[in-house]
Amino acid sequence: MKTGELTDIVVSLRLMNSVSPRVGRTHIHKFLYLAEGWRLLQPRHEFELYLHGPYSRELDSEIAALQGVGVILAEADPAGYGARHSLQEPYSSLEAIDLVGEDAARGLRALAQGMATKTVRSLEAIATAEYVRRTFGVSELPQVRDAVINLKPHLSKEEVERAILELDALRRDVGV
Amino acid sequence: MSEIRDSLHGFIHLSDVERRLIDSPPMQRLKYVHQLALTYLIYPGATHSRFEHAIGTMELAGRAFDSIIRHSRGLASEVFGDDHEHGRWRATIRAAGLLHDVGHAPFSHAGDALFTGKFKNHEEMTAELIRSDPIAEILRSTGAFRLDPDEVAYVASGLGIANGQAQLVAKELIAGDLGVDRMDYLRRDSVMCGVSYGVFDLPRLVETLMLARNDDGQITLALEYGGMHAAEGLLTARFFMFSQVYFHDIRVAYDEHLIRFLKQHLPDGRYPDDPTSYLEWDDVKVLGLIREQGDDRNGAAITKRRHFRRVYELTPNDLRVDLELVDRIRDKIDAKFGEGAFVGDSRKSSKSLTVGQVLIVDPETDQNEDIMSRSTTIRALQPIWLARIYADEQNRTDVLTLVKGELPPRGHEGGES
Repeated sequence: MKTGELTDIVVSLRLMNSVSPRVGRTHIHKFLYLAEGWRLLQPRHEFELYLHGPYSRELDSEIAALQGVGVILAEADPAGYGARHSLQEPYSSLEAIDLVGEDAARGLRALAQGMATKTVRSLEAIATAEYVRRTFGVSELPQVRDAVINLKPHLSKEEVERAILELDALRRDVGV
Repeated sequence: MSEIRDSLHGFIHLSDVERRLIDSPPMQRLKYVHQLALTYLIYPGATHSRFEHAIGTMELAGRAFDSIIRHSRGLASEVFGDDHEHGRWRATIRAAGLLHDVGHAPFSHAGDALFTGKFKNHEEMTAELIRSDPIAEILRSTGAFRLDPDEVAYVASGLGIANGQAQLVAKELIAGDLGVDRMDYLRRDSVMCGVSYGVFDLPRLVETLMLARNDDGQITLALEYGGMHAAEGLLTARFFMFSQVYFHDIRVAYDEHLIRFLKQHLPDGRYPDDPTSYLEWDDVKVLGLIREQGDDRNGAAITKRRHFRRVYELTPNDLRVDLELVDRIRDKIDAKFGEGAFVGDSRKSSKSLTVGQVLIVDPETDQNEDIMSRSTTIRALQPIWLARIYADEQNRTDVLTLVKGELPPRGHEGGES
């Protein structure tokens, strides 16, 4: 079985599914936004700031294509909103370490641990904080917080500050 | 107030600002940009232009906005402000609907591959044209409301960063899963091609649009329960139109020939960055260039129907068991046959077949849930990944041999043709 350049999507879903069954498209977008930016995976997608933070049109099409041939199953989330995504056999049995090697797998596993159970709103705040750091070159908490709130006025000051701290924790866990 | 008679929506009444926008050169140019590229060579009726679609989208944008205001008074005021602001937003959304495709290249999406300079896609060119005169001047200075070109550009193109909830909802209204762009083009393309796939209950769909709060507390576009089957119809129509019209096998071959021709004959192999020079390009100019080049291989493929033909269609199973297969075949075909063959791959377009979060609101209880949970039809709809191998007559047999050599060693039905 060969996964080619779509390995990044397969491995992200494989690792997040091992933490939680409730993985939506937003999870995959934010996971790859962080993983590609932190060079845990080869950067391959262009991201733009969208409704729920950094988003890649190309990635969305690739996820859909994988659904189309039965690699990914998208089904209604019994909890009520949106779809949850999972890999189908034989992809669901693949080991991350075989797909990306031991070093990358370790970092990606930590990232999945930190992201798979987050809500869409929380992912939006975390990924937008990372977007602000990369795009505007700011790193101090008050600057990042204000820039995120400016971009995402529906997020509260408290939840943005919490997101920045969670982002810092993720960086530490991943080893960036 | 003047009016235009549209083949789908009947009489459409225009405000002064809309009239002036329609009369402006960038909008008039759309009369000479085919909505479905070279699809008219396959479906002879598909000669309609981006101009008709733009006017239809504007009309539906106004109707959809009115429906939202009627059905979601409280939330609508929270998003769009008081009655005066409603008027300004209605004008903004209609203008955005009218202008949302103004940056399209000749032959619409077939020309998207030629944006390799300052502008990366037609949406970026659309935003640039809306922010530039004459459009910006008309928006700023005409009519009861002074419209903000930046705001119209954001709602029309979806590019950039929203400034507030109203812009997000407005953008969704134009280009979202239940957006009016999609409603108009599916119905219009279907009628013009003479196929039945794009039929859905359009008036019902528009009439049941409203606003609701999602689980994150954000206000978003939603649908009253009574419109759910109309939404199912729209999303199903999208699915069939994709496979039967937009990714029709010969249409894909024509697109490839057009792109190859333009890469060879346009200055620098791309459209100009300067908007004034860009606007000089339309389908008429490109067809003139093809004619000038006489027996150019790709030009003749279009004008003399000497197009590549499908040699093989990979099955979903071929693609599922080997996710590298398409890229590997493409690399080998490019290396061995060069200009004599190509791979048509829908992977980059599959997004258009996914369904995002669409809230269905029960009017009795005011509770909402996702359409994915509520509708068995939507749950059953999966996107498509199509991949086809094409070749000219001379290379057909050798290409087929190469492809078969790459396929997994097992009994498969294949798509040889």
